[in-house]
This record gives sequence, structure tokens and C-alpha cells, in this order.
Amino acid sequence: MSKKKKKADKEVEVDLNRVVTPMLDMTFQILFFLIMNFRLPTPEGQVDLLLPKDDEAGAPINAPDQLDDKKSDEYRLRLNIFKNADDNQGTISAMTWKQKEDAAAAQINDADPSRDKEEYFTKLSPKLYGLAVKLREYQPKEGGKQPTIKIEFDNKLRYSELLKVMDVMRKMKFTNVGVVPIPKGK
Amino acid sequence: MSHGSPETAEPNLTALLDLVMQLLMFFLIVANFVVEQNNQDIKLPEATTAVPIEKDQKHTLSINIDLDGSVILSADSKLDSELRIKQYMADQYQFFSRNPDVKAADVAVVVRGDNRADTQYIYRVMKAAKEAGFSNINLRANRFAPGGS
Repeated sequence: MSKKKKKADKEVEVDLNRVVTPMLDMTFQILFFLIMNFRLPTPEGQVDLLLPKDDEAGAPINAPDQLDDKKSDEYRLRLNIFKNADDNQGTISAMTWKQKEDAAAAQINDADPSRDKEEYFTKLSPKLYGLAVKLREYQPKEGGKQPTIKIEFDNKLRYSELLKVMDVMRKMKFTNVGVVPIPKGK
Repeated sequence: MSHGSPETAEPNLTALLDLVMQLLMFFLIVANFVVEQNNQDIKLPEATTAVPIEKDQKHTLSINIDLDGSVILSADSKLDSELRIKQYMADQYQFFSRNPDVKAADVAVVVRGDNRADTQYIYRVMKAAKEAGFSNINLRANRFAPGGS
């Protein structure tokens, strides 16, 4: 009887080190894989955008117009880019502002952002701060009618540049903002 | 000189194992397996005024646009011509229209464009979406500090 019990005890004996080693190996492999593939998630947000009713090229877009441009003032901001300098390709060279499509355009001058009271504006480039200064003239009053602003962009304008301009506009409480390509031949 | 039974010293792995397991759990939970149609290779532009993504948007159509302006569908499939993008958008609109629980026009078209891409490529996707019938279009951006040009 006692011999049988001793034999059973021997059979049950397991070397724990042998069991844990492969598990640890695998655990480290999985851990290594996950660490190598880990990317810190970036806080994504959304920027609402309105598209104008008609494409500037002339093709009408049938979807209902969200830009209420008949009932409010309409302004156009044209973003021109550096054409020849490779390093600057796609960045804004000049901005012009005009009321209605056929009105005279006025150049937006650079301004020094360092004296602004709000931290957001102090971090802007002189070009974008110049735009902010211009926009202050047209800033809608609280509860007032929102003017429509159409941003005319050059085809080669870098997308990040457009978002910077839109960011300034949204900061200045302009919400009725749309984008259109610069009409051909203008 | 007497020789007793040999003494073996083994490191105590318990604490190490605990730590490894905790790390493993953390990375398993945080790991961002393909849960959305978002392409992580797209470098989004930055915008401080970007608002947090609306969680109640049940139906979204994510469009990833790479540096060259192509719409990325999968790792080896891209749409690089305006015609194909228009066709794709029309197909997607038809797809949503067939679902009786979805109002296709209200499906949020999420445009995730690479910040180095030309604006014309972003615009052609937005235009194609609108022509197809979508009316809810929004751009994705990283919510960071403002940058100057």
C-alpha cells in the first residue's frame, strides 16, 4: 500500500521550472511584438466644412446648399502659393481679401503676433496673424448673422496650410466657411 | 572537509513574471488593432479648433488620402483618378441607400488627408462625395497647438 502511494507521488511530481520557461519565452515574444507595434494614439478631432453649391469650374452640384450665401455677406479669401521655390512649394505666399467675386482684392499684410493678449495668436506666423487682424474687422457679433467666407485655393496649396487658415477662422468664430479652387483664368 | 548536499540558488522570478504579465495586459488592451478604417500612415494636419469626434455618428465612411492624393482602400488597392473616386463614392452611396436603417445623405464622410498632400486632391474627394449625394462631410485633424507657416 505504502509502496503504491510513494509511486503515485513520484508520478505527480512536476518540475515547475520546465513548465514556466516556455510560457515565459512566449510571453516575452508577445510582449516584444506588442511593444514594437505600439503607437501612441493621437487625439483626432473633426473640422466641419461646407461646400459651395456650384463648382467654380461650372459643374453644378445637386446636393442642397449648406452655404447660405444669399442671406449673408460674402467674402472671398484667396490663398496664393510660392510657385518656383522648391523649398516653399505649397506654402502660402500671399493672401488677398475681397467682398464678392467681382470686387477689388486687397492684400492682407503680415502682422506681429507677439503683442497679442491671447496665447493662441502669439504662436501664429506673421502671415496668419495678419489674417486674424483682418478677420477681426468682420467678426460676427454674438448671435449675429454669420458672413460666408469662401477660401479660394491654388491647386498646389499644401493641405496643412489650408487647415491652418481654417483653424484661424474657426478661432475667430467664423463657421460659415467653404473652399473652392481659384477659378481658371483669374 | 565534509561535503554536504549541493545547494542550488535560483532567482525568484515571481516579481518579474508579475511585471511582465502586467505589461502584456497593458499592451494587449491598448493595442490598436484595425478597429476603424483609419490608416495610421496618414499624417494628419493640426488644428486646435478641431472638435472631439462625435460619438453618435453611427455610420461613417472614412476616406484616407495619401501624400500623392490617392484614396487608400487597402494595403494594395488605391484610387488615383478622379473618375474612379467618383465611381467609388457613387457605389458607397448606393450601398448605404440599400440599407433601410440608414439615411445615406446623413452618413458622415470622414476625410483623412495627409497634411503634405495638395489641397486639390482633398477637394476632389469632397466634391465627389457631394456629387454622389453625401452632405455630411468633415475633415479629420490632430488637435494640437497652432503652427505658423
